Amino acid sequence: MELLSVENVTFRYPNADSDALKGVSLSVSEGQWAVLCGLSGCGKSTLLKLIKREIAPYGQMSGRILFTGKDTRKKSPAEGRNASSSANRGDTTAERSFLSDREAAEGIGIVMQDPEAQIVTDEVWHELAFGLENLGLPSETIRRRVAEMASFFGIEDWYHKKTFELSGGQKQLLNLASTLVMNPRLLLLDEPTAQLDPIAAGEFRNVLTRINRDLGVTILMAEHRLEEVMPLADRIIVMRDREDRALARTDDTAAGTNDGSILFSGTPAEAARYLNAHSHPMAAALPSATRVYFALTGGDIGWGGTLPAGDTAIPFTVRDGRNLLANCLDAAGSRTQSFASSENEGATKADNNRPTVLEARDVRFRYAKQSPDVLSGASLELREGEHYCLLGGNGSGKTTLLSLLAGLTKPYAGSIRLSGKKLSSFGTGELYRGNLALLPQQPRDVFVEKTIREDLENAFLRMNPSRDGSDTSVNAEMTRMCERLRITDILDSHPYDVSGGELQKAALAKVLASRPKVLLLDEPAKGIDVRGKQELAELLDELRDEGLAVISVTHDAEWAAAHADRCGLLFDGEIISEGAPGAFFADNAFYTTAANRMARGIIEGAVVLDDVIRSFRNNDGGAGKHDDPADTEEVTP
Amino acid sequence: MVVRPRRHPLVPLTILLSVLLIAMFAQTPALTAAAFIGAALYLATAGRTALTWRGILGYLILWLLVAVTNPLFSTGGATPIVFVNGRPYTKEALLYGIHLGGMLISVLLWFRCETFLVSDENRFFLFGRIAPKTALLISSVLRFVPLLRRRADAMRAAQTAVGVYDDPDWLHRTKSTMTTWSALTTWSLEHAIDAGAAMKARGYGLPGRTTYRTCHFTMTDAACIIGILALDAIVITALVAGDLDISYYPSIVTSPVNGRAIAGIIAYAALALTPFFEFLKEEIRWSFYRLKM
Repeated sequence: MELLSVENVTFRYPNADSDALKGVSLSVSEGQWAVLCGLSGCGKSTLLKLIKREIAPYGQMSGRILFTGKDTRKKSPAEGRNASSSANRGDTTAERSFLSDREAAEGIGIVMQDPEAQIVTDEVWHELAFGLENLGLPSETIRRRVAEMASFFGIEDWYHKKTFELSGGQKQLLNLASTLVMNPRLLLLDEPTAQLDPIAAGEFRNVLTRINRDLGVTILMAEHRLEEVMPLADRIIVMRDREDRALARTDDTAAGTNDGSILFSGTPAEAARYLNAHSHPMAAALPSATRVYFALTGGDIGWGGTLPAGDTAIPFTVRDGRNLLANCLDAAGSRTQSFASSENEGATKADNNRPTVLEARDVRFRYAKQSPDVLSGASLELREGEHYCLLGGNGSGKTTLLSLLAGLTKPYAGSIRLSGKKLSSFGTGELYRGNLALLPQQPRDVFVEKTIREDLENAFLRMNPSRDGSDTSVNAEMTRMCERLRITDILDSHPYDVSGGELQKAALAKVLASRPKVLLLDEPAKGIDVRGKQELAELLDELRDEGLAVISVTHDAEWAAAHADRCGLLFDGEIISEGAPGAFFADNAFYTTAANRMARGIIEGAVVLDDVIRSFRNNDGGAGKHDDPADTEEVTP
Repeated sequence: MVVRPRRHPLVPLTILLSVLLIAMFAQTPALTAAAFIGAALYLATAGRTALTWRGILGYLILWLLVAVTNPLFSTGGATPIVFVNGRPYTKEALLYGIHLGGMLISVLLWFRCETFLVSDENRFFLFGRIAPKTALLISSVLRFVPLLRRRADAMRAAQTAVGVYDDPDWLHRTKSTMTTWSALTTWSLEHAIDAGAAMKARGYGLPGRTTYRTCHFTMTDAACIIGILALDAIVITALVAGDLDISYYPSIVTSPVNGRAIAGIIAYAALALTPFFEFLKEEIRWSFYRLKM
C-alpha cells in the first residue's frame, strides 16, 4: 500500500491570482526516498506543508491527500457533502476514514529550511523531549526514547547544552532528532541543508541515509540542488515552475496534455534523462558527472567516442564520473591529458595592471582580550573590477574578516585601506556613501520598512544630499536599478513575503543605491536555486565591467570556480593560499569543485564542468580523428 | 557539564525554605548566627567561583550601615553611649542593629546559595511540576532572548553598512533607529509564528500533555525530607514556647536557658550547616576516591 498518496491536489493562496499547485498527483510508498525538485516558487514547500496538516497554509484546496489510506484533512461538519461527491466519483466507501490529530502529529514529521526557526525550548534535552511530552508519554518512555535518539545521532556531548550555543549544523541535526524521536513513518524535508555549510550538509545527509536505510523511514524531500541527493534518492519528482506554467508550454511530450504542477516522476536516471532532453532549467542542477555524461552523449561537442546507453550507465557520483572519464580516455588511446584554461590566465594578467581599491594588511582580531585570535595577520588586496572569493571552513573567520573590511568592527592590529585611505579616517556619512556596501547573509536584515519600495526609496533619497523636491532624478535612478535587477513587480510586497532569490536582488538594489566602489557579499549563493545564481553572477559581471570590485565570502566552491577572478582560502586566521580559480582549485584536493575532483589525475587543470567537456573537444582533434576540421582549430597548443 | 545531584531537588529546596523562613521570623541571635555561618561557609566553599571581594565588601558595608543607623531611628535602649543631636545613641539599639543587619545579610546569602543548591535545570523541573504551561513559556522565552539579541546585532550591522546611522542629520538618524526597532518587532512576530508552527508540527496542543521528569524521588529523598521536617519541628517548638525569645528594649532580656532552647539551636544549626557539610563530604569522598586510584 502507498504510505502517502496525493490525489489531484490544486491549491490557491487567498487573494492570489493563480494556483500555487495545480493537479498534483503523486504517491510515495513505504521506505522510499523521494525528492521533489524544481526552481524556487514552484510550490515544493506549499505541497509539503499541505501534507503536514498542522502547518498547512490557508487557502483553497481541492483534491485529497491520503496518509496510510486516511484523509489528512480534519474531519469537518461539511464532510457529508464531500462524502457524497466522492461517491459520485466512484468511491464506494462513502464514510472515509480521517487521520486523527495524534496520528497526524506522530506519523508525519517535518524539518524545514531554517534551523533556527524550529527550535522551541532553550535546552537540547528538553527539545528532544518536547514532542514526546506533547504525545503525553510517561517520563520513563520519554527517557528511553530520548536516550536512544541522542546516541543514534551522537549528540550525547551536547545533550546538556543550551540550544543557542549550537552550530547551524548541530541545530539542524537537533531538529531532525527531535522529529524522529516521535517515530514518524513519513519524514518531510524542506531544503534542510540550504542554510548549512558543505561539511554540515554532508553530515546531515549521512544521517538521512542512515535513517532511510537502517530505520526504513520514508522520506519526501524538497530540494533544488541535485548534486548530492541524486545518488541517494529512489525517485525524483520534477515540478514545473510557476512562470513556466503561465506560459503553458506545449512542446512537452510527457506532460504536454496537462499544465499541472508535476512534470515528471521517475527514477533518478529517468529524471536526469527527462531534464536533459527538455533542457529544463533544473538540468543545470544535475550532478557534475551526469552533466558530463549528457554532454558527451549529446553529440553537441563533436566528441567521436561512444558511451554505454541505458539508465544504469548514467553516473551520479564523483566516483562514477571518474570511471566514465577514464573509460573515455582509454577509448581515445591516452591515459591522462592536460587542460589549461586560457581565459583565466588572461584575466589574471589584466588584473595585475588595475589599481588596488581595498587593501587589508596583517589584520588581527579577537573578540575579547582573553580569547584567541580569530584573525591573526590576514592580508588581502582587491583590484578594481575584480571578483574575489573568500573561501574557508566553518568558523574560519570569513564573516569576521568581511565585517572588518566593511568597517563594522575594528582590528586590534593591522590596517585596512580603501582607495589608499584608512577606513577609520573616513568621516561621518562618507564610508557608506559611494565607497563601501555590504550585503549581509540574511538579505532581510537590510529591510526595515513595510514594503520593499519604501526601503529602496529611502536608500536612493539618502544619496540625494538636498532631500528636497528634486525627487524625479532619484526616482528615475531607482526605476533604472529595479528594471535592471528585474524586481519591479515585487516592489510593493513586504520583504518577508518574497522568495529568497528575489529578496536578495532587492537587497542588492538597496545596497547599490549608494554607488559603492566595493561590494561585500556574505554567502550570496546560499539557498538560491540555479537560475537565481546564474542571474546574480551575470549581474555581478555587468557591475564589474563598470568598475565595481566584489568580495564574496562563500562555502560554494562551484560558485567561486565559475565566477571569481581570484580565490583565497582563509585558515587559522590568515589567508593561506590565493590565486586564479584555475590554479587555486587545481591545487586543492578536497576543498574544490566536483568537476575538479572528478577530473583529478585524468584531465589536469580542469576546474569547472566546461573545462572537462571542452577538453574532450580538444582531445578529439588531438587524437587525430579528423571527422570535423572545425574542431581542430580550437585546440590549444 | 552534567549536573545531576544525588538528591532530588526537593531536598535542598526544603532545607533552603526551612532555613530562610525561620531566619526571617526568629528574633534570636543564636539562630541568626547559625544561618549566617552556614551560608558563609557554603558560599566560601561550594560557591567560591562566584565570590568576589567587591561582593563581600558590599555585604559588610550593608551590615555596618544597618547596625550603625538603627540607633539613630530607635532610641528605646536604656544605656546611652553618646548623644546625637540631643537624642540618645544606645547600646541596646546598636546591638539590635547588629542583629538586624546580620539577619538581613543571612537571608541575602541564602538566596545566593540557592543558585548552587538548585541548578537551572532543577529549578525548571520543580517549577514545571507546579505550573507546566508557565515553565514551557519560560523555556521558550529563554530560547528567544539570545536569538533576539543576535538578530538585533545583525540588523544594526546591516543598517550601519547601508549608512543610516552616520547620516549627518540627527533627526533622520533617530528615525532610522526607531524604524530598525520596529523591523525587529516584525521579525519577532514572524519568529513567533514560525515557532508556533514548529510546536504544532510536533504535536503541541494534543490532549494530555506530560512533563518529562529527569529526577527520581527515592526513599532516601523521602527520609531526608522527613529528617529536615523533624528538625524544623524541634526549632519551631522552641520558638513557639518562647524559649528562644529575646527582647532588646529597654534592656536586653533573654529567656532562661533550658533543654528545649538548646535542642532548638542545635537543630537549626544542623539545618543551616547541612549544605556545607554535604559539600565537604563530597570533597572528602572525591579526595579519597582519587587517592585509591
